[in-house]
Amino acid sequence: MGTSPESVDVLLSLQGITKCFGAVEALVDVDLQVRSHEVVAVVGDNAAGKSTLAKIVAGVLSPDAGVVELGGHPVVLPNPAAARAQGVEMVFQDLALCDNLDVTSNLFLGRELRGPFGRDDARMEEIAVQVLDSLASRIPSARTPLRELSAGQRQAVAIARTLIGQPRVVVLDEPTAALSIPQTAEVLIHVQRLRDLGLGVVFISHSMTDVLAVADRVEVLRHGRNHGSFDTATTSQEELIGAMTGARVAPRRLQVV
Amino acid sequence: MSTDTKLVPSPGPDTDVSWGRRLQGLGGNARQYGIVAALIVIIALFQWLTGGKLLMANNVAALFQQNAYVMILAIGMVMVIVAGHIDLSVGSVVAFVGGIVAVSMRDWGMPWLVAVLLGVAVGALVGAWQGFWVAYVNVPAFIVTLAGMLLFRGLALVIVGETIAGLPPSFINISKGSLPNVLGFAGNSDVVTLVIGALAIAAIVVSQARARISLRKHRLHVEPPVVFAIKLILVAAGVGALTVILSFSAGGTPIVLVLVGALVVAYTFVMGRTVFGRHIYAIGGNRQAARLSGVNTRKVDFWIFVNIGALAGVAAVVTTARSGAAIAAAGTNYELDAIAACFIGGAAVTGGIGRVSGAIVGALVMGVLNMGLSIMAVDPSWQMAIKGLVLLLAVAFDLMNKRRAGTQ
Amino acid sequence: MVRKAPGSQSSLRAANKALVLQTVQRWGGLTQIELAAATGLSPASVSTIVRDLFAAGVVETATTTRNGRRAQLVTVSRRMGLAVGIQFGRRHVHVVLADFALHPIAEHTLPLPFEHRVDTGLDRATVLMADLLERVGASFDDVAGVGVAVPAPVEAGTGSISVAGVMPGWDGVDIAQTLSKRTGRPVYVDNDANVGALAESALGAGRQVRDVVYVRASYGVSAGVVVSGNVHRGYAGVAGEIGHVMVDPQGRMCRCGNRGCLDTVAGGAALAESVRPVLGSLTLTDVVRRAGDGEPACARVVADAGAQVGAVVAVVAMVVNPQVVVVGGELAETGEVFLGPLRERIGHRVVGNSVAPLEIVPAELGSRAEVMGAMLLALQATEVSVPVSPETAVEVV
Repeated sequence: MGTSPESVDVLLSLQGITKCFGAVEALVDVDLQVRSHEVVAVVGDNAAGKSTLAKIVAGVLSPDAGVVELGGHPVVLPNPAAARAQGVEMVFQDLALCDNLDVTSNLFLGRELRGPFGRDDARMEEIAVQVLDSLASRIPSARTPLRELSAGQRQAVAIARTLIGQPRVVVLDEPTAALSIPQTAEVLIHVQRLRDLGLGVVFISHSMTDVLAVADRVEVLRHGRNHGSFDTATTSQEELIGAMTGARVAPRRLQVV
Repeated sequence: MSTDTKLVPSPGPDTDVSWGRRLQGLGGNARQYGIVAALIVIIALFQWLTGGKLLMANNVAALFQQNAYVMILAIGMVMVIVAGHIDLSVGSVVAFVGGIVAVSMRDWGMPWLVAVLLGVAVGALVGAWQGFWVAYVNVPAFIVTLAGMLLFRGLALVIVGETIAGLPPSFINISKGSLPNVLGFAGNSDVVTLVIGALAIAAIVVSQARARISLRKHRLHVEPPVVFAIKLILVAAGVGALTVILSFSAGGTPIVLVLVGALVVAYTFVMGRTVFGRHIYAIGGNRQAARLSGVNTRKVDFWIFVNIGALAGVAAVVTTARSGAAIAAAGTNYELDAIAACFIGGAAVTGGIGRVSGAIVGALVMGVLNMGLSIMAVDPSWQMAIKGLVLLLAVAFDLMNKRRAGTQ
Repeated sequence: MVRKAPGSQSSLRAANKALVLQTVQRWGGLTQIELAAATGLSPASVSTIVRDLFAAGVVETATTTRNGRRAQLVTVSRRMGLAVGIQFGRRHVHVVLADFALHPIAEHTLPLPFEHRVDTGLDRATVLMADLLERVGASFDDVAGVGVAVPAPVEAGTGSISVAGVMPGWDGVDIAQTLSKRTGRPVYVDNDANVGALAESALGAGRQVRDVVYVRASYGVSAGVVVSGNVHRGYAGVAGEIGHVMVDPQGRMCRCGNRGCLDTVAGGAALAESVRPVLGSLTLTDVVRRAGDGEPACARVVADAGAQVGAVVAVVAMVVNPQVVVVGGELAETGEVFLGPLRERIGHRVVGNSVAPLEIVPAELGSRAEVMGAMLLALQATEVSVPVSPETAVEVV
C-alpha cells in the first residue's frame, strides 16, 4: 500500500472488525481505510465476507468486535438511518427500490422532505432533477414509475439516491453484477464522478475488470480475513486472483511508465 | 431500454396519435377513470332495470345510509391492503364496540357523544392490540385478525347477549337523520343540501385548478385544457346531480354522508400527501427496500392497525345507530364487503397499489348492486352469488388492463 | 428543462419546437413518450412537433419497441450517414457516433483496467458501438467508416502497433482487420497524436495553417506532425513519438526498452510517482485537478514537465518549422501551469524567423480532438467530404 500522509482525509476506518453468525466466522480482525477522492475495491471469493463488511459499514449489521471510525471519530451504527446520518450511504445488491413508486419517491425514501401540510413534493422533485443531472443519468423524467426503467437506469437511481444525503462515503455492493457492457460503462462513470466529488467509495465486486478499471486500491478478503492490499496501477488480474484463492503468485514487476 | 428492437425506418411520424397514446396522456388516472366509468354504467344499467326507481331521492339517501359502514371500513382496509396486510376482524370488532357503546349508554348512563368517543377509542385500542402482534411479534396479519375475528365475536356475545335496545334518539339520529333543514326549501329542495353540493363542486374545481397550476409551475406535464375542462364538467355534473336528487329526499343530506365525506377528504390527504401515506405505499411495494431505506416499518404497521381499529369503532357507532340497538350478530361479513370494495376499486392483492377514492367507488358499486337487486326483488341468495361474480370479474378486468398497459 | 417564454401562441409553439429538438439532441434518441416526459409537453403536442421537424428534415423517426410496446423513436437527422470514432486511452475507451458533419449524436465512455488487452478492448468497443446505434435507431450498415485512435505508433501497412511494449497485450495484432471483422465496416487505425493533429489542423486551432505540430501530453507524451497540410507518419508510423526521446542517459527504464525517455520523466504516470512521497497515491486526473487548483507539489511537477516537454518540442519545431504548436492532452487542462513553462522553454530554444513568431496554443477541441480526428480519418479514407465549420465541436451530454 502506498504511504498515506496525514494531509489526506481518512473518511472511513475499520479496525479489527470481527463478526460471527453462530459458529460461522464471517469476518475476523479485518481492517479497511477509505480516503477522500479514493475508490477502494473489496474483492474475494464467495463467503469471503465482502457483503458482511459492506453491511457493517452501512449500519445493517453490528460488528461483534472492532472499531468503526468516521472522519477520525469512533461511531456506533445501529441501523441504516444512523449510518446515513453519519454520512455513509449504501447501494445494495438488489438496489432496495420500490417499483410501485416513481423516481423522486425512491430517491427520498425514508427521508422525505416535509412542508407545512404533509410532504414537500415540489422541492423533492427539484432536488431529484438536480441530482440526476449531476450524475448525467439518462433518465428523462423524475416522475417515471420505477417499473418502467431499464436495469441500467434503476442502477442509476440507486446510485443517485446516495447523493441525496450529501454523504462522505458510498458503499456499492456488486453494482455491475447484472448489467450489460453499456450499462456497466454508465455505472463505472458514475463511480468516477462520485470520486471526483471528493467522496470515498467502497466498491465490492467480483469483476476483476471493473475493479481494475475504476479502483485506486484493492483489498482482498479471504475467509473473512485481510489477505493483501494492492495498488491498481501496479497489480494485475493474476495477482489479485492469486491472493483471493490463496495460491502463491510471484509479484509482477511492471515498470510504471 | 429494450433489447429487442426491431428498427423499421418509417416514412414519417404517426399522423394520428392513437387512442392508446391519448389515454396514456391521462396518466395513471386512466385506471381510476375506468372504475368510475364502470360505476356509471352499473348505475345506468340498474336505473333502467328498476324502471327509474334506483335514482329516486329517498333511495339515493338510503344508499348512503345503508352503505356508510362499508365506506368507512374500506377507507381503513385500503390502507391495510396497500401495506401488504389484511384485516379479517373488522366485522367482529364492529359488534364488540357496538356492544360497549350500547352498554355505556344504557347501563353507565353516558351521554351519547361520550359513548361515541369511547367507541372510537376502544376500536383504536383493539387496533393497537392487533397492531402489536403484527408489527412487533411478526405474526402474519391474516392470523392475528382471524384470531381477532373469533376473539371479538366471542366478547361481543358476552357483552351483548342477544341485543341491547333502548338507545337514545339523538344517538340513533347519527345514522337515520339528516342535516337540519335550517335554510328552508327551494320548491321541494332542501337548500342546505344544495349549498353543500355547490360548495363541494367549488372546492373540487379550486383544488384541481391549483394542482394544475402547480404542475405548470414546475414545467411538468399537464392534461390538455380540453380534457381538463371535460373532466371538471363531468365531475361537477355528477356531484350536482347527486346534490339535486338528495335535496328532494325526505331529510336532505344524510348525516352519515357528511361523516363519510369528511373521512374521505381527510384520508385522501393522508394517503396522497403525507410522509406516512408514502411510507405505506413503500412498505407495500418493497418492504425490505423500505426498511433498508430507513422507514420504520414496525411503526407504520402498528398505526395502520390502530387506524382501522378506530374506523371500525366509527363503523360500529353507525351500525348500532342504524339498527337502533346493539346486536351480537352485527357486522357479519362486514370485512368481506370492505375487502371486496377495496379490490373492485383497484387495490393490488400483493400490496403497494390502491387508493381511498377507488375503495369508495368500489363500495358504491357494491352498494348500487345491492340496492338495485333488492328493488328488483331478486332473491338474497342470488344477490350474494351475483356479488361474488361481480367481484371476480371486476378484479380480472382490472388485471387485464394493467397487463395491457405494460405495468406488469 | 427550459423555461417557456410567455407570449403569443406562435412564439410558444416555436419555443416548444426548440425544446423538443434540444432534448432529442441531448439524449441522442428518444421515443415520443420519453420526449413527452422529458419536456413536460403532452404526447399529442410532441407528435405534432415531431411531424413538423420531420417535414423540415431536422429529425428522423423509426419504429421500435420499448417495454414490449411499439414506440416511435425520434433522432436527429443524419445527413447521408454515420461515422464512428473510437479512442483507446490507457485506462478507458471512448466511442462516439456522429454524422458526416462530425456533430456527435451519442457516445459512451467505458473505464478499462491499465494494461487492458486488445481482444477485451475491441470486444467492448464493438458492444458499445452496437448500443449507440440501437439507441439512435440505426444499424451497422449506416456507418460509413470507423476510426480508431490508440496511444502507440501504428504502421499503416499492417494496421498494427509498430513499437513493441508500448501497449502490452496489443502487439502483433492487425487492429483494423480484427475490428473490421467484428463490425463488418471499414476500420482505420492510427496513433492518437496523429489523429489529434489531423482534427486540430482541419477543425481546430490549426485550421488556417498548413504546418502544425500537435503535442499530446497525457500518460505518455507524443506528437503529431502536419507538413503541408498532411499528417507525416513516417516509415513505420513512429514519426512524432517524442515520448521516447532520451532526455536522461541515466534515467529509468522505459517500457519501449530504452532508458531515460521523456515519458519516464514527464509522462502522467511519472508525475503521479513523483508526488507520491508527499501526497500518497494519486491518478493523473487527480494531479491535473490539484495542479489546476494551485496545490504546490502538483503544480510544481506539472510545470517542470512542461519545461521538459518544451525542450523536446523545441527541437521538433526546429526540424519541422511549423507555424503553430497546438498542445492537448490531460496535462494541457491545467492551462498556463503546463503551457507557461512549455512556451518559455520553446521560446528560448527556437530561433526566431522574420515571417511570423511561432504560436503555441492550447487545443481547441480539448479532450475530443483524438476521437474527432479518428472519425475524420475514417471519413477521409472513405472519401466523404466533411463540411467544415468552426462550430463543429458540439457538446452532447
